[in-house]
Amino acid sequence: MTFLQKYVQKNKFLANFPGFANLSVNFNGMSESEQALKERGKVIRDPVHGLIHLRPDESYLLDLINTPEFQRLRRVRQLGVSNITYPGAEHTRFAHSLGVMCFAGRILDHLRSRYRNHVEITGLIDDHERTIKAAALLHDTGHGPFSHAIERAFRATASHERRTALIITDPVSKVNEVLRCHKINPDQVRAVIDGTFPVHFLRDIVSSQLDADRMDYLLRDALMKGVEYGRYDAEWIIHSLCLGLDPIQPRGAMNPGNLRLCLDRNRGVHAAEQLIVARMHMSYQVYYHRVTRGWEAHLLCMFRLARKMAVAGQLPVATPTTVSAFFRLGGALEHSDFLAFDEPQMIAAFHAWADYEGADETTRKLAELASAFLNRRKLFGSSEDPGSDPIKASYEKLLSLKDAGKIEGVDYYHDDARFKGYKDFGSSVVHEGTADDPLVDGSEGIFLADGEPYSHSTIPVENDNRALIAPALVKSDQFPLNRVFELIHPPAQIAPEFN
Amino acid sequence: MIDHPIVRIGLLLRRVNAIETCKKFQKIVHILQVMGAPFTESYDFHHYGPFSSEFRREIEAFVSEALIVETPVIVNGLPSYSVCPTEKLLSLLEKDPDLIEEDWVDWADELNRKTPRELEGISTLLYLHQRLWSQDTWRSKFEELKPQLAAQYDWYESEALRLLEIAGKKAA
Repeated sequence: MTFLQKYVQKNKFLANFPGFANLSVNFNGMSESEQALKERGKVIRDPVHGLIHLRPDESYLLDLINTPEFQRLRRVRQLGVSNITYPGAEHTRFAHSLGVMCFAGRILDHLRSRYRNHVEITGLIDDHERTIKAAALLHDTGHGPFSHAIERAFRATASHERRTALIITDPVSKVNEVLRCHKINPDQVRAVIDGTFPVHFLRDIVSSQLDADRMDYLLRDALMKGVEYGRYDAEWIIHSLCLGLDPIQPRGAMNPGNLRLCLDRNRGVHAAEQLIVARMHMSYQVYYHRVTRGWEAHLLCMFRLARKMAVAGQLPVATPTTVSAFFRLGGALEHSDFLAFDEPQMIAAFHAWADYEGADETTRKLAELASAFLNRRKLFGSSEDPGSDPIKASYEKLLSLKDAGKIEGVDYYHDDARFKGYKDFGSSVVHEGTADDPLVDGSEGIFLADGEPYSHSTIPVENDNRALIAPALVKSDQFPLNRVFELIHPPAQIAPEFN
Repeated sequence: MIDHPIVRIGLLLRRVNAIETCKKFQKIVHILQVMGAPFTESYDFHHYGPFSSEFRREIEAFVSEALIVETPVIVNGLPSYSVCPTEKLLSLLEKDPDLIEEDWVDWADELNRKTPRELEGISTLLYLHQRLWSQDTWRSKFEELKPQLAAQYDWYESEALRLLEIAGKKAA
């Protein structure tokens, strides 16, 4: 023990001096929390995972969690406006991102154990574990407030993928600083997220049909909304994970980098189908719920008006500066402004708009939409009986609204979810071919393999003769949802609905 | 222009008349999107190039409603589909008297004259551009992702840059 350490220990009165109480630094230069992490690791309580563990050697994860970029996710809900339909849906992207990190770690540990006799595989896992876990943690950092609604409003500039890439690679970002400090290559982290990482099965852990992201959000969203649709046997899925050669790799391409994350054919067929059904039901009943999508349409129309007013310099003065800048710039915020761009700021803006008494039609309309949103007065309705031609019907509906003088994106909004039951991921694997095969334009799906990593018997689950549900869903005629949400006149006070 | 897939897919197919192979269709739409055309489908990189499951679902829905027809063809000895608009789709376009063709429709024509492999190379580079990879990283990323196309990298790069310039954009 040094002289100073002894002095501080002896003179406990020093703790009463202002500022000293916060300076709980030992003379190894570590804070108390850093010291605790080094000795014991860290646990975080979580409603889905129970306990999320950080090992003593994972200080990089804690440092990333403590960045302002990641802490901002506490102020961005996972499901945007779903809480208007499902009041329990208040969970944040912060909690979800921790959960994804947890699942990613468990998948890595499982693969390391399963392939412990394949040093070419465990070597890849060891080399890239930190990159994969960092990517799992950071994959949603670029999300704006209200989840995907903001992106739908400003597709080119407010894309969460672009913003996430910036957060990871921009030197002004604390995330970038932490990654470099811990000798983790930021370009490798962003490559995992954007799908260009060269080791396929590692990339699959964060972004694929079996990834940690959807494994967490299905369970978390179902739990917080109070629905049972999203439940599936996560433990058995992890237990059944294995590696297999990509079905459209040519024979002889025995490169561990070409392996894909698969489910063991002998154990995982039914768990795979359960996962598929869970996702399908959650999509239909929750993510694309008519009332929820109606509120998104409401927000999108409000954003369109706000953009118009921001460009003209006419947004109410009480609008928070960051929100004004966002709409004026069409989504292209500087990094420092993006850190302040969250849901509390947007709600403050809605209050400012609702309270503003402007003379012109646009200002009154914005005030009406903002007030209705804050007080859950439903102004948009849709009808859903398109008959056999939903795409044609929705287009003709838009034409009729246009002919009636209605303004697109203000008086009505077309919502085509482009989602189809099971196969909203496009497995193009119909036979073994090559990347040059003009029929093969993708290689996504839930694959089954026999677990021997260089075996060539990897198939999509719907091609397994024991699969019951997936083949039927592939042939299903369920097609994308097509709705047109219209502004109902005059707006009326409607009793709250919760489903 | 009304924001509806019948408009953007209809204008594209009306101009080019037919697109051979699913792969070409995917890549043409992706490249047009990066150039600024109003295609809103999200693309990911699925090991074999930019791919949109949303767009695939849309095409299946269009086939189901007889708005487009997929005719089996053989391309380089391998089975594929040729995609054409139907009269039903074309007549729907005629219903909007205010519908005009924007510049991107001309670009679609040029892109359709390229081979699937050429489009795959260009689309890969434009995906990197879209995801904010700086131009000085493109070569090494491309060689990593598309080793079978690396020999023609210089051509793909010059085409990608030329297309961005046509659209009034620049690489990062």
